[in-house]
Amino acid sequence: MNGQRIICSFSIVFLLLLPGCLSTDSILEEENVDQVIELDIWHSFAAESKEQASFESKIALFMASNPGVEVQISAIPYPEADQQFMIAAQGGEAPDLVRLSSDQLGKIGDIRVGGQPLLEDLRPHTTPIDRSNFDPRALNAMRYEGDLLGIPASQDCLSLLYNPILFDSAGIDYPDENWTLDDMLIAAKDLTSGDVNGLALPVKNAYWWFGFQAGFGGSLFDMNGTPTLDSNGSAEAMDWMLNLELNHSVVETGTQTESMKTQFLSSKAAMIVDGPWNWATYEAGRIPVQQALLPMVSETGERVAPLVTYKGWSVSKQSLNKEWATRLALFLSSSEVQKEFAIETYTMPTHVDLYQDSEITENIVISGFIGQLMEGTPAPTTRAMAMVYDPLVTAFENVYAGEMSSSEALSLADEALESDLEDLS
Amino acid sequence: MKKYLVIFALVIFCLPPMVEASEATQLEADGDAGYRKVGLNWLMNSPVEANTTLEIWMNESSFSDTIDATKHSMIRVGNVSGLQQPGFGEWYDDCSYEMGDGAYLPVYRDSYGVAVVPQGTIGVNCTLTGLPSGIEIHLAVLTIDADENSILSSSIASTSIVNDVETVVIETSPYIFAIGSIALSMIALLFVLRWMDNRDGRNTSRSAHFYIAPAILALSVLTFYPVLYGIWLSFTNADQSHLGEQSFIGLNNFLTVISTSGFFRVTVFTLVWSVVNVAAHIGFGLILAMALNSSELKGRSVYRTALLLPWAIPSYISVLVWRGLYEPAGALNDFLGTNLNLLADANGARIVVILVNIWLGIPFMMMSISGALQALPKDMYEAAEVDGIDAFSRFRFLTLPNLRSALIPLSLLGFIWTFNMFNVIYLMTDGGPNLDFDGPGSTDILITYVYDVAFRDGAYGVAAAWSVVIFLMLVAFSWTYMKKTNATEAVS
Amino acid sequence: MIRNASSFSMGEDGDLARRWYIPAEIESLRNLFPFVLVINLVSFWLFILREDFDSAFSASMQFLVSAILLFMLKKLDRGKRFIRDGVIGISGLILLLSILQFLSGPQITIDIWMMLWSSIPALWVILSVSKPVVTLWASGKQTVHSAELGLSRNRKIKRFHGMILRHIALLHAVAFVVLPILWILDVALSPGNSLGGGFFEIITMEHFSNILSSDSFWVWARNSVIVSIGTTMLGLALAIPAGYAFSRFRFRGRDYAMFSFLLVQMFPGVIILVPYFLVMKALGLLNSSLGLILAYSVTALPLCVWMLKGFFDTVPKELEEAALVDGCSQNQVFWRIILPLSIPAVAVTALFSFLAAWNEFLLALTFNTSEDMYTLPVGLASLISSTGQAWGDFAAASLLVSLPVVILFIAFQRFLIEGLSAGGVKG
Repeated sequence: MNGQRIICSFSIVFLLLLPGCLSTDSILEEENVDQVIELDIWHSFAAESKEQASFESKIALFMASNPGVEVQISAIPYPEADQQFMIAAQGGEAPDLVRLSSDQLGKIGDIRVGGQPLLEDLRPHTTPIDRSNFDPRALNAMRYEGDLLGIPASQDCLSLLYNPILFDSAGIDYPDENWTLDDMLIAAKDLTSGDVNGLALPVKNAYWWFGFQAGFGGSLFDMNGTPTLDSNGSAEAMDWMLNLELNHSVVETGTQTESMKTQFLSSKAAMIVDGPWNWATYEAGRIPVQQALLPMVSETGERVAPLVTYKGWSVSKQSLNKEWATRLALFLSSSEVQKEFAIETYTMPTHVDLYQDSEITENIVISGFIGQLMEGTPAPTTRAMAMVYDPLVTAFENVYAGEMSSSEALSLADEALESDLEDLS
Repeated sequence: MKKYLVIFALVIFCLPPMVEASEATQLEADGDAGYRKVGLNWLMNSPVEANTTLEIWMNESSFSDTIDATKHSMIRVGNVSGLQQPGFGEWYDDCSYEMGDGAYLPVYRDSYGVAVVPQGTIGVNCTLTGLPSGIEIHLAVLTIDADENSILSSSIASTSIVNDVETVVIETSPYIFAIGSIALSMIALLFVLRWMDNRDGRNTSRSAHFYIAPAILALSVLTFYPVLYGIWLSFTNADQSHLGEQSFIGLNNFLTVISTSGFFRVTVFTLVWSVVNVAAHIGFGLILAMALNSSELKGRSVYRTALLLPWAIPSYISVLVWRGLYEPAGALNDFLGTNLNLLADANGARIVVILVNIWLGIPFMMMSISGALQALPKDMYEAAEVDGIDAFSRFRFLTLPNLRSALIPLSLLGFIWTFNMFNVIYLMTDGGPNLDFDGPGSTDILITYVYDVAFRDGAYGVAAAWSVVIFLMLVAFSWTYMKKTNATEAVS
Repeated sequence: MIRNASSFSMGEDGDLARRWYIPAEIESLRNLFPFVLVINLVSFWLFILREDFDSAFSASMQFLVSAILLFMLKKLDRGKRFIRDGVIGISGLILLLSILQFLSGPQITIDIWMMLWSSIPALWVILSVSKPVVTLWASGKQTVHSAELGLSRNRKIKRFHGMILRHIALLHAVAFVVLPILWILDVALSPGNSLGGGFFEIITMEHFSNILSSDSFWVWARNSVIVSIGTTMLGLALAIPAGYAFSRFRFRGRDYAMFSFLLVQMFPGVIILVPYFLVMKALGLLNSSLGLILAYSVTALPLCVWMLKGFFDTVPKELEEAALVDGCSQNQVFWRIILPLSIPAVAVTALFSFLAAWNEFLLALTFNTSEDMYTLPVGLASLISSTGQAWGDFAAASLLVSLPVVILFIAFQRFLIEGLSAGGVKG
């Protein structure tokens, strides 16, 4: 009996050690051309969505025109995508291609595993003609400390959407290019009655604030990348936003990103500051939504300039097939693929040819948002940008709760960000 | 007169050739310029004029017409005032020009990113990117003058011979070794203990160590190494900017932890959170289990199933739905007729997250206590009832002592799980509202703050130190609790 | 127990009768009213939150009056007439107050609930105290004989009251528990993909059919089932012997071994995720069901071992000793006697292991990055997009994910109910 058990336990341990003894250290080998090339691609499109369907058909197209290449697709849930990529990279299991946004590049750019970064610099992999196809601002946004870490495939930003039916029933003129913030506030007040609110936006959310900060003359960083969260106009912008809810009551108390969508969908909000991503949902909910440029700030004469973020395809540093991976990335960002994505899913393109393309310019949604994008400020792709949200959230909470004034909160936030950046270096 | 006419004719005829369009000549290529790069330089046979365009064409075999080739890049010749001039390495690729003095200057870039050189440029040196590695490629330069006349230079062949940098390769044998040694030492330990027992003459438990061996082995193989690694990490300066290259820094991380502003606050809240939750879980669980413990209760299985639902539904969506309910526009305000904005202030948010966690945790406790209640012999109760002992006393003196053996591990485990319960707070408030610029938010518990430190700040060493602090707190609590309640002893 | 009634005089008789007999209604009322007081406090606080100070004032009045009523109920057996009349009077007052309060407020569901909790007990007091049985008892002229009759009557009534109490408690609990689930159901059945809109206004099955007709859902489901069943089996296989050993045997290292099971739960998972990943990679268990099964079994072990140990503790040793004396081997004792007795505990631990595996997300995502190995929670999470979410589909998918668990619960309840008819040592 006992002898049996001894043998049993040792064989378990032996079996556990076996793989270790048998495996040889894997050596990097250059892929020879004649073998099947396998590429692993991670995307974060929602499962069962139009984007995913579009994407998979394009991959199929790529595989059909390149018979020696097999592409494995993995859908990674969006909130965990960059973390999972980091974990997989640390474990040596990173995919060849991954879809990342420009702010994620700012987070990932600093990471070094064994002295190597996680993403491949694509500058040697692309010809100038390849690169000339893209909006220079988009391409620039994919650069982190000089390295080109991704091929930009889409861009987006916030704009002003409104429900014309509610405007008609209140007898108010639709927003136009010459609207100022004051006009918007007046219209919002006139539209707020009963359970309908004139405006829906999350007043505490920094992502919305960036546009207003720019409009009031402020900026997040100066030329050298030093944080200027308390620059001129930042406090005014914050106050203006918070007053929408706290003073003027044109925004429903406690509106968040999810509830503002619900409000607009149930016609309880006449205007909403939102991106193109919910347009299809609004149309499906039978709201005849229209888009207008975000208004001008009369004090400064500047227009509210929302933050523009870019999403693109990055190649992992650990990939064994970087040339093919780059080819796939360029294919996925080519004008045909971008055009189809744009028209089917309202994803704004970054390809310069498409800016003049008739199908694109005739599509009011896409051309409207492209117009807004041109007025927007590209988000800097820096580590500081990735770290800017935390102190800003704290600042907003404090001002919202009445604990401190906006200028005080913003200067504290600025100090906090500067000290965080110092801790890094 | 004739003489002048001849000279005039000669000048007319000879002039054009002297003022002929520039052509790129003397192409030289360097395949050693970098991975997928080839350096190309050439000289123009005369200084280029404004509005000329130089295009670089490439093909895998030699070509004499651009129809057979692909355009690689282009350089415009024109006015460079006001254009940016990025230094070497600052742009996507490098191109430089010289005006005949041998001093190469970086080219200018216009707003579209196209390279621009001033007129009069004689030499150009470009590092061409995006070329296939290890394959011979032919390059030529096409000169297009202002009148759209183009001349193609002769092509030159080159191969980019630099290889890709070797990437990080993770060897798995050290891990196998670590796991194997842990497993072996566990087995050895079990044998030693058994031998010691035998030596002391405790023979009744002959096979005890074998009974627990599979569970202990599975546990140790899979989890001891990661935990030991985590503990080791807390003594290093591990950070995301140099993963795999951390160095030992002793207790520095722990000092950082203790000196974080809000350390005390977040620890206190974690304790309050755990104690209140466990008390409520067990309290309500007990009440409900007792209420369900009658076989005559009509609709018993319906009640049971309904009360188990919070456990069945994935917590992701139920917590998000609760968040929606607690918002000012949400159903809670409609239901109560109030106008509360609970999540906006620190104390309100704390109450809310505790309530939601109570909701999540009751079913499991109720279920476990039900199972334990079922095991109590019914005749004991009947005898007591006949004796005239009332319900509360029956509960206090019969039920409770017998449940003790079940309640103790449940409360212990419940405390540990609640202490480290990440989901609810992360999804509900993400530690907010954040009123402190440095340090945890108002509803942060230790584990949600660890997550922030690890993934938001990338400071893995410090996060590991926080984890060790959590670990030690829980170890101290559990060991004391176990000893005080004699949890490991059987109830007589 | 009084056996010889005749040996007592009338006066003493009454005292004794009073001492050991209380009508069930009065006893239940005395136990109920503290809860009524609590609910009065809750109402008070709710009115303050609503900033309705008039109602708050009337709620505080109600609290006061109910407290007085409770006090008087306790003194009801003094035999004084005015106490009994006072009780009825005050109850009437409470009834009136609560109806007035209800009529003056917004009259939404919660107001109805508060009104029921204040008016029904008051009504019940009036009805009970008017009963002749209770009147007799309250007057202090109880005889032993009527007391004995009262006791047998009490039996039935107490049982009935006990049932009512259980139902009330359970109904309240179910209301609290089910509220958000109804919301999820509403979102799953409403057209469109947002959180909100009317409550059960339009019903559509589009989200359910979307989810059920997608191939990936069935792949996820298949993986989840494999992993969860595997975890349950492996978890039980590891935990049952261990729990048994901890319960029955005293051996060196026992306390430390039991404690070591807890250790792993104490270390935050955030930091150990990467080394865990590397361990799995070293064992070649990435992108496989076996890897997850092992990981989940280990996560579930602490609870399984401790619960089973605690349960085995309650099974008397005499049973095993008897069997051993009769010639059974340790093994047979285990399989034939212990295991069948422990079905409820085994069922709980099996359910727990199954659920630990079924709903776990992070490890499943980290270890399995290939789509055909995704389990349901990971698949569910991949329905989330970067911008806004298909709430309708997500809610429908969540309900579908919970369905097998609910079915398992229903089936599993049989084990709980039928479980222990043997119980204890007979004879």
